Formats: sequence, structure tokens, C-alpha cells
Amino acid sequence: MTRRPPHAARWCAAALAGLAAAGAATAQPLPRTEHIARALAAVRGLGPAGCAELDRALYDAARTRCRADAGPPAASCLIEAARTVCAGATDHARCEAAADVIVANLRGQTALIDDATRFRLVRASADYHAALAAELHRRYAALAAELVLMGGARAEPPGNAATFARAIDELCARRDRALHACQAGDAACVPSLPWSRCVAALVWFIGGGP
Amino acid sequence: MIGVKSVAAAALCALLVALGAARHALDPGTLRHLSAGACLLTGLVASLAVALLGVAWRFDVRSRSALAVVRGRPQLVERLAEGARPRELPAMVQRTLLLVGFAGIAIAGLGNHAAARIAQLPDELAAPSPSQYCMPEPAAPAAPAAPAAAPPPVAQPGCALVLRAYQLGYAKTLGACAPRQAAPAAAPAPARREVCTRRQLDEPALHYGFRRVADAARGAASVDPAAAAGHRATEARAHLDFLDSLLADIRHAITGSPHASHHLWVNLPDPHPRSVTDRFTGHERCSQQYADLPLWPAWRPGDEARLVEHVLGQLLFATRFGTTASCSDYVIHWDAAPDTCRRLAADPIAVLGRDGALTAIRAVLDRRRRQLEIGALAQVLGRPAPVAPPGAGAIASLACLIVDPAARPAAGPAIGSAAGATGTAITVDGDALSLRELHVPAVRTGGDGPIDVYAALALLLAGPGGDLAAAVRAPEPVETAGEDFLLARLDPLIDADPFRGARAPLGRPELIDVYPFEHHLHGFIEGFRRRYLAQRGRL
Repeated sequence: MTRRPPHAARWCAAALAGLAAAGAATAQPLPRTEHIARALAAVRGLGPAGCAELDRALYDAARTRCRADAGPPAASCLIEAARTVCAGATDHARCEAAADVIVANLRGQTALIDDATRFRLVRASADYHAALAAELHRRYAALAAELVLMGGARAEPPGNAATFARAIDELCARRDRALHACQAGDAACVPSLPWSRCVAALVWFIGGGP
Repeated sequence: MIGVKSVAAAALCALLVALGAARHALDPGTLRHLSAGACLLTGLVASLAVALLGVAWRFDVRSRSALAVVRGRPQLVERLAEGARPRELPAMVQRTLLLVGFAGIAIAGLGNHAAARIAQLPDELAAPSPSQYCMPEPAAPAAPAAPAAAPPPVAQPGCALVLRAYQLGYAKTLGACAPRQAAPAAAPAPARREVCTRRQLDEPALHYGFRRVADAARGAASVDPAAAAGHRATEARAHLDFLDSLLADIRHAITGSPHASHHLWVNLPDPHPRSVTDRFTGHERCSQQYADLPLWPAWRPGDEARLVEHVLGQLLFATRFGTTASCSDYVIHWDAAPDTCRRLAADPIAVLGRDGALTAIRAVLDRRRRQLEIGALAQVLGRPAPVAPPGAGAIASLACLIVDPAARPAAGPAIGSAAGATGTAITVDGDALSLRELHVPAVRTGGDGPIDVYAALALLLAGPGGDLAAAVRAPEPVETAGEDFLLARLDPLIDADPFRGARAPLGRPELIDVYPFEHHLHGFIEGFRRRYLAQRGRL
């Protein structure tokens, strides 16, 4: 024998389900393209020197405050650290937009560079951070080449940043659906990446990050 | 009126020349660089083709039909009246037209490279084969050079202070900082030369023949003829004893009996009902069907059966997740009765026969049995036994996925919303096969419903996996509200594994486009295949 819920409970359940359905139906799409365009403009606006300074500040903050040495730092901790670093910036919004890119890149380092390569960098370089940045730059360049091959770079030169941002968004949303199996040590192969890390890598490379 | 032969010769010539021109055979550059051999070969091929065609063409005989222009339109006039003489190209011109056409196509097909290869063919055929002749030994490698002077010891990191202290006399030994030198590589051992008993390059055929006969006679004299005959007789008797299995094994190989047979009964409607066209064109091959499955397609209500089929394909056959099972070994029986597994347990032969699964299962089990018997024959003959086939339970299995609204949902998210699978064993022709059954309350196509299907099918096919959720730290919540830090706020999606309970993002449509399905599916399916493929095998 099965138990049937009383009428009041059933009405409540139906109402909750309706609310949930309405919530799902009215969920606003994320402003992805606008955000990419903003981030791209911020990285370009900061310039290589400004980007390098912000990158170093966030890298240090990640190590000291978010225990980045022990594993991937938490996003919430990195966001707080970025807000603190950008608190004194003259253009607060631009600093935070660029910091968003750096935070996503910081979290994505382990996915892009395998353990063997990182150990090699630790052993062989005096400045690990600089060596890591150079290694990441190669991976970002390979990703940017994919964007060019897709036809996304035709929106350059700037002036139509929205179209360019849309191309980045499209590549990064679609790319994860395809197979990207990389062999260890293959610098030309970028593995499957979540949207946020793919966008951050492309924005950093194209925006002219150091 | 123009004779049909003349028209045909001109048309054929034009067609062949056009084909040759399309393949760039008539380009001035190609013709200029054509070698003498290629020219000769082209001429030979074209002449041979025209000669062969000429036997049927009969260039010297006039056409019996002609092409005429009647009221401005071409018309074929057949069986010309006696005395009618259509205009005809001279036989030599017809020959020449065909020759030009065939030459054009021959240049396109042959070329310098093919001509050179054909010219080399007699030499290659006449060259002594290493399987028949003793070929000259390759030149011995040069004597190893004198060992180079040992390189200076490399300074070890962190030893500068110890080294300095040693040099100044404050330390008596270098300890662990003593210079290290690699041991010289050992010289390779000289390879043993085998005596070649094949024909020498300069050995006369008669001498070689005599040597073979003498060797055979020496071999025959070295064994006891009675013992050899007895051994042969024993071998023949053993082969006769196992003749049935030997023939059956050959029959299985020739007829292509299945290597494994796994059956899944699902009480959902067939997502690909056979159409009239299918009866003529046949079904799409399963390898093509599962070759390029989308990662996370959008499903609608009514797609339940297609969802189950898709998930099964991803779990077992999608190549993007590594080693796959062979899809031809699997059969899904749609529209199954909810009590199929109960009936299978009660009377397996009847149910398997009714659903068309018995023949395949019997063929697989018979193939395995024959392989075991061939192993026994090898043992009788004192030969090394072939690799033993997998167990019967590994090459054939039965399972039921039943959508039953009355099914009890399970507590943990690790196995989705399905209660635990039940398992038993049935016997078919003396072999025990596993029979697993799983009841799920529903197949939901929206939100995180597909995750339930993945979990349920994985549980049904491979049994429960380890509870990994306990070993992983809780993922960060994904908060999309707000203007700033969108990338950083979406990044924790990579840690929100829906197979370990973090399913909330799947209920938010705005996150579906950026959800890292590949990452999470890869982890889950890899783990599933590690468990499942260890339980399964093929003949």
C-alpha cells in the first residue's frame, strides 16, 4: 500500500515546483560576451607592465593568504585577495576586471601544465614564477592559434571588441565539447578546459599580458 | 548522315582527352618532362587498347546506323537501307582518334614514376630473396673508439661551502659532496652468428638440391622409424578425437560467430523503430552510430529511450574516454516486459529464445567450449597450450533496466536515484551467466536527470563503485549574481562533480553552456570502465 500525501502538502509541492520551473525559465543568461569584452579592455588598458605588477601581487597573495602552495587556491579566497589588491587602484573597475582574468589563470595553471613540466621548472629556473609564466604563454599561444583557425581573429583590429569577445566565448563554450587528449610534455596541445579558464587564457594572451 | 562509328570515335576521343586534361596529363610541363620509358609505355598501352577495341570495332566496315539531322534535331537512323552510304571517317582516322584518346588517359594514369617502377620490376623479381638465399652479412661495425677521457666531476648543488672548507683544510673528507663520476658504459656483447643453411648466392642449383636431400636423409636416419611412426599415429588419433572441436572452431572463425554476447532489456519503447526504408537499406552500423556522440545533448520529455541509449554508448563505446567495449557484442531489447528478469531467472532458455538472444549466446558459449577443447588437445600433444578463454560469465551476460514508478529511490547520490541492483546467476547449456536487474523510479530528461541514468547504468553493468565523494573536499558554491569576477566565480564548476553530489549547477540553465561536462564525464566513465572492463572479456 502506498501513502498518498494530504491535499495541502500536494498543493504546496505543486506551488514549489511551479516556482522552481518559473525560476528556471526566467533565469537570465550570463553576460558572458560583455564580461569578456570588459576583461579584454582592462588587460589592454593596464598594459604589460601594469599586468605584470598585478599578476605578481596576486601570485604572492595566493601563496601567502590562499595557501596556493598546498593545492589550487579557493576562488573565493582569490577574489577577496584581488579585491584587497585593487582597493587602492586608481581605476578600481579596470583593476578588478583584469584581476578576474589573473585569478582564473592562477586556478588553471595545474590543468595547463603537467606535474613533470612544473618539477622541471622548479629545478631549472631561478625565478619559478617567471618560468611558469613563459611556459603558460606557450600554451596560451596554442589556444590563440585555435581561435585564429576558427576565424575568430578576423574581428581584429579593435573597434569591434564585441564581435571579438563573442568569438572567444563561442570557441571556449564549444571547445570543451570536443576531444583534446594530450600526451605528456606536448606543449602544442592544450587539454580540455572549462569555459572560464579558456577565456582567461585567451584574454591574457590577446590583451597583451606579459 | 554520319556513321555512328565516326561519331563514337570522335566522342570517345574527346572524352578521354578531356579526362586526361583534367588530370593535367596534357599540360606542356607534364609532356615536356615525360621520360622515354613513360612515352614507350604510353604508346604500348594505347596501341594495345586500340588493337583490342579494333577487334570488335571493325574499322574497315562501315556503320550500319547513322546520325542524321532531321528538322534541325539529331536523330539516330538504324538499319540503313541497302546502298545507303553514310559519311564515314577513314579507318585510319578513327584509329588515330582512339589512339590519341587512350594515350591521353595512359599518360594521366602512368607517368614517369610508374614507368620507372615497371622497368625495375624484372630486376626486383630476379633479385635473390632473403628467405631463399643466404644474404651477405652486413659490414661489421667499426671498432669502438678508445674511451674518451673522463669528464671533470660536476660540482654538486649545495656543496660549495663543504668544498671550500675541504680546500682550506677545515674538513678532512668531502662526504656526500665527493665528486661522482658515471661508470663507463659496458661494451656490447658480440652477437652470435647463426649458421645459414639456405642456398648460397653462388651455389649451383644441383649442389643445393643434393645438400637438401642429404640433410633430409641424415634427419631420417637419426630417429627410430618405428617410434616416429608411432608418434605420428598418436598425433593423428588425438586429432581425430578432437576433430569435432577443430572443425567447429574453424566454422566459428569462418561464419564470424560473436566474440561476446551481452543483453540488456529495457522497458522503454524502441527509439529507432524500423521503417520501410530500413528494410531495404539496413540498419546503421553500431560503430558508426556511436562514433561521434555529443557530450551533453539537450533532451526533451519523450526522449527517455534515446537518453538511455546515449548513456550506454558513452559508458561503453565512446572512444574519447579511452578503451572501449565492442558495440557488436551488445544488444538492447527495447519494449521489454517489466518482469523480464524474473522470467529469465525462471526459464532462461524460453525467454532468450523468444527474444532472439539464445542463438548468439549459445554460439559464444560453444566457441568458448571449443577453445577450451583445443587447449586440451594441445596438452595431449605436449604442445604449449593457447591462452585460456575468459570465463563464461565474462563473455555473456544479461541485465534488465526497468523503469518502475514504484521503485524505491536510494539514499545516496553516488548511485543516483535508483535502488541497489539485484543479481543472480542463470545456467545456459551448463554455463553460469550473471543476471542483473535494476529498477529506477523514472528516467528524467531534464536537469540532472541524465546523471541518474549514468549512475544507474554504471551500477547495473559494473556494480557499485567506491564512494569517492567522501575523499573529495566539498566544492565551492557557484554564485553568478553580481557584476564582477564572473570568470573566477564560474571556475569552481570544475570541482562541482555531479557524480559526487554537486548537482545544483545542472538545474540552472544559464550554467549549462559553460559547465565542464567533459571533465566530469571523463572522470566518471574512466572509473566505470576500469571496473567494468575488468569483469568482461572477448573470445
